[in-house]
Amino acid sequence: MTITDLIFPPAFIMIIGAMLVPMVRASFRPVLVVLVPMLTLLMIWNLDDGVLLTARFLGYEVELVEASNVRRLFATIFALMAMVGGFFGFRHAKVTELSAAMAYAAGAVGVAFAGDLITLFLFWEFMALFSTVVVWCGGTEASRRAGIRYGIMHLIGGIILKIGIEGVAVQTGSIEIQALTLDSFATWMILIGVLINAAAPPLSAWLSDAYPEASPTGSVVLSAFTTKTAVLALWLLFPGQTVLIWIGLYMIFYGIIYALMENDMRRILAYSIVNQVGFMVVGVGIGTDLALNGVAAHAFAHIIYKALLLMSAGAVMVQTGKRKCTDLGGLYRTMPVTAVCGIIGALAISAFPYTSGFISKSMISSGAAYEELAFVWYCLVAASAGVFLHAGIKFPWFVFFQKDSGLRPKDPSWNMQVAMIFFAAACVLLGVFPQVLYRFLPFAVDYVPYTADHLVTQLQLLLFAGLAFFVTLPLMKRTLTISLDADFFYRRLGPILWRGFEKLLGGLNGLMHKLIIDPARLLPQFWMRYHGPDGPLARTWPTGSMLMWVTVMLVVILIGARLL
Amino acid sequence: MSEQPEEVQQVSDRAGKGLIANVYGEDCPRVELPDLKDGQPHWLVRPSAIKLLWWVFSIILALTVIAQIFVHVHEYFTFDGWFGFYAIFGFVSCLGMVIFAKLLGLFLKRPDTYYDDH
Repeated sequence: MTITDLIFPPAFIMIIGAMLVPMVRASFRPVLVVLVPMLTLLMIWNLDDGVLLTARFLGYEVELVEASNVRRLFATIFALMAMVGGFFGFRHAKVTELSAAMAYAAGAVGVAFAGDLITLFLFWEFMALFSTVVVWCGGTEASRRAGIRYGIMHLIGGIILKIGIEGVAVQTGSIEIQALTLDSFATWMILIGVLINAAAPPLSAWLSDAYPEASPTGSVVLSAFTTKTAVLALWLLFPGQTVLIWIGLYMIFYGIIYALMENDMRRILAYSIVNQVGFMVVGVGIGTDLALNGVAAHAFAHIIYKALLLMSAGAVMVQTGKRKCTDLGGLYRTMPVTAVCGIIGALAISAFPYTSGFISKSMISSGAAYEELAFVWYCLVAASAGVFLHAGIKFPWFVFFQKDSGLRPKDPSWNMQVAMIFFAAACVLLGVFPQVLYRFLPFAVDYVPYTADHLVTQLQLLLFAGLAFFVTLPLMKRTLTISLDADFFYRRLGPILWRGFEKLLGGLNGLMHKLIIDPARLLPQFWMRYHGPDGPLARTWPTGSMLMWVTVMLVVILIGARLL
Repeated sequence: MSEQPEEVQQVSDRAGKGLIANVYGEDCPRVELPDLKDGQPHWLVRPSAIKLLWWVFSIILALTVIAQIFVHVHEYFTFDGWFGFYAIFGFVSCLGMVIFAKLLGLFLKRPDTYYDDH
């Protein structure tokens, strides 16, 4: 059965689901968080290609649903993520959070199928709204503040995107989602608006600021949607724009370097999201069929292993209440399931052979090689080694091994274990049977990941990166620190400047008082001295003194008259 | 019955100003360190085991390089065809990144309470 005439977009199933979450009994909630995404998946996979649902909005013909291979692939992983994330969290997360997470996922599915820029924008803002709620559900003062900063950042991004969309609509008369050229202010605005959601420089800091402050479930959910919808938007709107290669390369190395400096396990993983999205942005920048296939495959694989890593970190946090590497260590003893799942996620993100990262990331670097982009290729290879360094080894090592922290937490509740095992299995399955993913990619795949050459070179690269980790371990001693980032400007410098500005205004005020207002005040004082109620010229004089003056004047007149 | 409100109160106190009193890891078991069984630590952290792991790891490293004798590595550019290129490049670039991060940390690292105090 295929659907040719739609009545509503697939995202609406999840929006209704999100509204139902708070209404049903607690015992039915896990069923709901699994069932709703499953229904969505069913619908997604029955959509024909092409524009399926249109409506009139603000005088424009908007395309609420347009299906294609790449859109279906992204929507699939978004729905799958909503399902596993919800199942992972249904016992610990608050109802508000489960509901907001599903609405957030619905927004992502909506963006995936948006056929025009207006629909894209509406779902885009829908995501911004509910992801902010998810951040707030962290429930702490820190998450409240981080949520406000996060919300502001995404509203600004949304405004920039909207300016661009309006510009394009006015200039070209078309709101169609299609490959744009960067030849006007409007298209640049769209690019910037999308890149803000992709955590591109200079505003990458919102991600590592907000995601780690969410609840254990919240950060799992957050890791999947915002940045990956941005990748899809870049994929659809800006394939082959060379500037993206350089932006992506910056993101890749930014993620590695900041993750290496970081102490908070969830912030390490947040930086590594920027790093991984960087690979995808480079792939979009290269823009060949192979690279674009690689981007789609990598986004799919990445959502799974990054959620797995964050679930593993979330399980540790739920069980121990700790999130800093300095407080953790040695947990492999009592959390074997969490440790093994975390390690599988770590191997997958490092593109270890027979994991999902291996079959997806290599398509992007091969894309660079085939285009003879030597510098880009060398950077990507170095970065692949760096991923193993900062996420592949650093995360499991400092959380599950290194020193014995004395903590003996148990593995988390059964639903968390099931969610982790499911995604860990998916990482291995996709790695061992790449065709499972390849057949759903947007372009025909003639790429063969498993050659003796590729296996040997990748193992050399990764294992020697591992050697570098253990050789430089003394240099990586964890410190109780955070690292300054662009958020310094709005979290520290901004307030400092504001206080300085206030001081400056206060100073100017004082100066004005001294030079103008105080002297001006002297004028009425002078006036008052002679003409005020007590002034000599306005006093009520005693009758005696008046009589005396009248006498004096009379005498003067008399003498004067006499003399004349 | 009378204990329950007290407990709730405690939890919300611990969670600070947050509206949702999610306090994790409250009942996380701890042991005194060092944690020894029959005077021995966990088998994985014994010096003998660590030494063995280093040996095994070194052999695997050597094997991945030796394998290049038997496997032709496709050469896209210039250096990448060299024998052991990936091993050296992986090691050196990681070394570079660790040192760079260390140096950058001198300028960028701040106490993790940096943003809390205002």
